[in-house]
Amino acid sequence: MAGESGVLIICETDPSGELRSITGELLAAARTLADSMSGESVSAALIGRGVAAKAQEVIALGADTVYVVDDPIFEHYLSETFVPAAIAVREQANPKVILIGHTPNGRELGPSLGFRLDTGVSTDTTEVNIDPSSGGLVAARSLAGGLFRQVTAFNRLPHVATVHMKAYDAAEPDAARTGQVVNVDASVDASQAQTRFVSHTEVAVEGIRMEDARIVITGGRGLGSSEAFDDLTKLADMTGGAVGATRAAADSEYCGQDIMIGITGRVVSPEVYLAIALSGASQHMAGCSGSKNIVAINRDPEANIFKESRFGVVGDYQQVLPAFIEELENLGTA
Amino acid sequence: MHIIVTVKQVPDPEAPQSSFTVDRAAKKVVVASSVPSTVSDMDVYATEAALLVKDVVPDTTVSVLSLGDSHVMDVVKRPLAMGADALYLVQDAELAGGDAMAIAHALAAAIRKIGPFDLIMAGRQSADLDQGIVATGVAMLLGVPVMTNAVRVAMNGDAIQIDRIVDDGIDTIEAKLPAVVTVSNELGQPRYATMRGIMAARRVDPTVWSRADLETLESSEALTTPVDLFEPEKSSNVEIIEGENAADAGRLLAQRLRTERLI
Ligand SMILES: Cc1cc2nc3c(=O)[nH]c(=O)nc-3n(C[C@H](O)[C@H](O)[C@H](O)COP(=O)(O)OP(=O)(O)OC[C@H]3O[C@@H](n4cnc5c(N)ncnc54)[C@H](O)[C@@H]3O)c2cc1C
Ligand SMILES: Nc1ncnc2c1ncn2[C@@H]1O[C@H](COP(=O)(O)O)[C@@H](O)[C@H]1O
Repeated sequence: MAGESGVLIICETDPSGELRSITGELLAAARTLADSMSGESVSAALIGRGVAAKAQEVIALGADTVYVVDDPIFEHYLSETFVPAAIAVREQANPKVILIGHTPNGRELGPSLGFRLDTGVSTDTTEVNIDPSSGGLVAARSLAGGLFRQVTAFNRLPHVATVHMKAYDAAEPDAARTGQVVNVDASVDASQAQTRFVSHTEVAVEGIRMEDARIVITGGRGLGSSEAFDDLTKLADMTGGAVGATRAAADSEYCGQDIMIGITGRVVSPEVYLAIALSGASQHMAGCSGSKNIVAINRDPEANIFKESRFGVVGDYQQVLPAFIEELENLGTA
Repeated sequence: MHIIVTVKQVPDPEAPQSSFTVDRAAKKVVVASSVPSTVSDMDVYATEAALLVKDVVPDTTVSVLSLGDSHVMDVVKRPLAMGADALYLVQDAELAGGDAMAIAHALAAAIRKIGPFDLIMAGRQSADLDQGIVATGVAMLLGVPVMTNAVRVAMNGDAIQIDRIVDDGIDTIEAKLPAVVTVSNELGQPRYATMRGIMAARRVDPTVWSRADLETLESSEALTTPVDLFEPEKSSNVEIIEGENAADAGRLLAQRLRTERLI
């Protein structure tokens, strides 16, 4: 296809049909790219069941055109159905750049779409820019578990990148923005499918969702026991925070795997990230380096976590933490 | 049933960070010679997933495939010591150093040469590149479905069923065979090598191929161009809160965070 222009993002919705926050983040990233492509446009693919009603919201967040692929077949994500839907949209939108969230589904869709379009992909991209000389996308991402940053250009159009969660801040929705809504018939033949959706199991979250919490309190291997994690839960209850863990702590079974933060775990960017008895390995930091204020408690003054923190206490958490909690109790609620 | 596990040999990511540096001009990571090689950790989970299927499906053969340029036999035989049966090594520095698409092409060509398969198991992402691309590419090039980030695998009749973690829970999905499945660490602790497994692994002669042996290799063209590789700067300006003792420092930290309206 010749004449490619602009940026296409792939929206994500939750089971109740609400746009996921990544959608706004992608639109914000796309807007900056489109602006530096001398005002080319931003389009969005809205694929799902009963999602058409959300098109105006996507426009309010920054899209100029929304391509709606609304069909019961898209109720649940399967690459086998979402890839052809995305391709049908791409054929109409003909973008230079396609941005997808590096979410559980997006990290499957991105490479699948890239290979289907016979073009290169950058995954878990933390920054996207347009190279002024080539007009093409340059994508920055972490490598070697976060030790290094790699910047990549693309040899063929379109350029596909999955974007790290929370790497961009969504714009405030502007209800007055106007745009075009185009319905796309992806005509995916489900009877030929090799894969099948079986079921979805909700995992109940106790307390506040980690990704939404203002304070995340994370324990590492140095906590040494699951009882110590109970103290973190107490602190979380007091402060309205959520509890996270390092892989070493989860693998030691001090807590569940589902609260693990990092390159292979969840990604958070709270106001306050309280890192207790964890070393700050790059693979862990990949999941929390977007936090506004990292506060570390560690007995090793050389621990890497101090290099990434705003405040720190060097000491044994068994002494530091009870006093910290007690003082917070004395101070009362903020 | 024939399962192929793709296994990448990588420099041990747990080695001290100072043993990894960058050659910015060459846009390459330089690894100190003291760093041992290891199996990329997610590939150990992929091996475990393959062996879980082998445990329940009679007459299952698990083949291990690795593309690299300096395979260490003890490393690439680890999956065999865990219970896999055969080892295929493709040795070519240029292919191994290619981008995700080039690596996927090479692995797909090697798989065609190995012969018919029912399942391919791979890691969700490699420990050195963290891409999570190659296995999907292999699936696309071989024209079979892919399901990524499995945290549970099981046969359901003649389909492979997996659980994968999604935003608000777990999706259970399944694919007809042949298929590609990538595996994540939440699968659970991989089995250890047994003494018998280690002895058996020693007796396995790997099949070693070079690029010239990959008759069906379609392309080794890169689809991406490296522009830069560098170490991000860390601005270390931590304020260490000190007190008369650790408990005192804990109290002062609480006060400080309150003054800053952080907690
Ligand atoms: C491919 C790959 C992917 C990975 N993905 C992830 C990931 O997603 N998330 C993740 O977290 N890890 C991940 N890891 C693991 C990561 O490399 C580290 O091993 C892990 O994060 C270390 O966890 P930790 O900081 O809890 O443990 P350690 O590194 O062992 O640190 C424990 C810390 O606790 C301190 N300490 C001990 N006792 C006390 C005490 N009484 N009081 C105060 N401080 C104390 C010590 O000084 C030390 O700094 C991955 C690794 C690989 C190779
Ligand atoms: N050189 C290689 N040899 C064998 N398998 C590989 C190789 N590169 C990648 N893989 C497989 O593809 C998975 C994902 O790799 P990546 O896309 O680089 O993150 C790995 O976990 C391996 O299972």
